[in-house]
Amino acid sequence: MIADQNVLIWVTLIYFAVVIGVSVFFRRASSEVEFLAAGRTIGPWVGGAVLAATQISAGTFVGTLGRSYLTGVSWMWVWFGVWSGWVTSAVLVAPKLRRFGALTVADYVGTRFASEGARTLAAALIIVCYSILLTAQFQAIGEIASAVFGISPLLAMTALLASTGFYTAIGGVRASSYIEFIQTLIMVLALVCAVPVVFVHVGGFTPLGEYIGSIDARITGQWFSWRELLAFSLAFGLGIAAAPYEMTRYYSMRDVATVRYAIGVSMILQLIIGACVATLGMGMRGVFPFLPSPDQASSIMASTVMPPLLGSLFVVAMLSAIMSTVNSILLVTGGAFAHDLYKRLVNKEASQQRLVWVNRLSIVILGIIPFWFAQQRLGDVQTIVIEQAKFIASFFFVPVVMGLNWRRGTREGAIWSMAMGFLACLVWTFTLQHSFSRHGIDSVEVGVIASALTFVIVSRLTPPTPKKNLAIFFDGEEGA
Amino acid sequence: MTDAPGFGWTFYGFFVAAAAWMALYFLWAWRAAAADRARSRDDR
Repeated sequence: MIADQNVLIWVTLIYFAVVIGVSVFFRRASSEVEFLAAGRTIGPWVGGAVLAATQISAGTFVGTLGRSYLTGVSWMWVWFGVWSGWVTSAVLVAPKLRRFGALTVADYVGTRFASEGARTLAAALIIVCYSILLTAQFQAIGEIASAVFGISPLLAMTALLASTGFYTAIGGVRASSYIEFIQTLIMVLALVCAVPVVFVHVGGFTPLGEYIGSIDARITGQWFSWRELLAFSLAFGLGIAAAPYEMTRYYSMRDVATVRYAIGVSMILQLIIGACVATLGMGMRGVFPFLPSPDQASSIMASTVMPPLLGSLFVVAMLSAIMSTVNSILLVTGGAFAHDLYKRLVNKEASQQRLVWVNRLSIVILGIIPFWFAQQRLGDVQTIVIEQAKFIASFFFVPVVMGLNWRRGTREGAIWSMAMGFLACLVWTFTLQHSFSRHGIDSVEVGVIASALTFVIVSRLTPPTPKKNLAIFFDGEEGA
Repeated sequence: MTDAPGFGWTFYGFFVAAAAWMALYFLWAWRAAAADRARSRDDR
C-alpha cells in the first residue's frame, strides 16, 4: 500500500470529482447522433487523446510493464505492429467509414452488404467479445485495488462500474471524449514524471543498462526473435486495424482529415506512453530484480519506489487507463444493443429520446453482466485482453478492411467470413494453440486467413451487392 | 563497473525508427488532406 493513504485518497477523490463534473456538464443529449457521435464535432487533439486512451488499458500498465520487466528492450518493437494496425486503419478504413458517417460499426456492415442478418451477427459478436474484455478490466481493478488501496476486489469493481457506468450513461461520447482527453494527460504526466524517479533509484541510465544486462544479456539485447516479434506484431496490428471501439470514435470526429491527424496524435502519445512503460519495467528490474510475478512491478513501483504524491498520480493513471477502456467498451456494446438490435428488431418506430434512454439502460445492463463473470476469474488479465483481441480481428478484420476496398464482397461472403473466422480462431485456440512456440502460427493468423478465404470464395459464388449500397463506399458506382 | 552489455542498438534504434515512422505518417496525412481539399474544389 502507498505509505501516505491520505494523499492517495485526496488525489483519487479530486480525479473522480473532475470526471463526474465533466459528465454532468455534458449530460444533455437529445438524439442518437449527439449521444453516440458527439454531434461529429471532435477535433484532432481531443480525438487523438481519445484513440490513445481507448488503446491504453490495464494490460499496458500491468501486463506490458511486467513484460518489459521480464524480457526487456525487444518487446518495445511490438509497438510497430500496433502502429501498422493504425496506419492500415488510416489508409484503408477510416476515410470511407467517416465519409459514410453512421453511428455504429454494425451500421457499416448492414449498409455495405445490404443485409440486416450481417448487421445482427456483427452486433451480437461485438457484444459477446467486448463483454469478455470488460471482464478483464474488472479483474484488473480488483487486483490493483487490493494491492494498492488494501480494499476488497469486489468493492473496487463496484466502484469502477458505478463511476464509469455513470459518466458513460449520462454524458455519452461527448463527455467521454473530454474525460478521455484528461485521462490521457494524466497517464502521460504520471509516466513521464516516474521515469527519472526510478533512474535515481538505480543510479542512472547507463548503470541500469549494465546491471540488468548482467542479470541476463537478452534483457538489453534480443529476448524475442524477429519471427516471434513479427507474430506478436501481426496479432496486435490485425486487432487494431478493425477494432470496433476505435472505429466508432471516427464517427465522432469532424471530417476525414481530422481522423487522419487524430490517428497521428494518438501514435505519438502511444510512443511516449510505450517508451515510458518499457523504461519503467526495466528500471523496476534494476530496483527489484527478482519479484515473484512481473505483473506486480507497477503496483510495487507506485507504492514503494515513488514519493506519495507521484505514487498516487500513478495509481490514478492506472485507474484512468482502465476506466477509459471500460467506457469505450460500454459505448460500443450499448450502441450495438440499442441501435443495431433494439431499433432494428424490437421497436423500429422508437423516438430519438427513447433510443438515448435505451442506450443508457443497455450500458448499465451490459456493464453488470461482465461484473458477475469477473467474480469467477476466467483467466489472468493479460491473457483475456490478448485472446479477445484475436477473436475480434478474426471475425471483423476481413469484412471491414476487404469489405471497404473490394467491391465484389457480398452479404453471404461477409456472414460466412465472420462465422468462419470466429470458429477457426476458436478451434485453433483450444486445440493447437499450445504448440505455438514450435510452429509459430498464432490463432489470429489462422482466423484471419480462414475469414479472408471464405470471404473471397463465397463472394465469388453469390450475387454482387446492390449498386446503391456500393455507391456509398466506392467512387465510380452509380446509385440505383 | 561490469563487462555486461548495456543498452544498445535495439533500444536506441527503436526511437530512431519511431521518429522516422511518425514523420512519414504526418507527411502522408498532410498530403492526403491537401488532396482532399483539391478534390472538393474540383467538385465545386
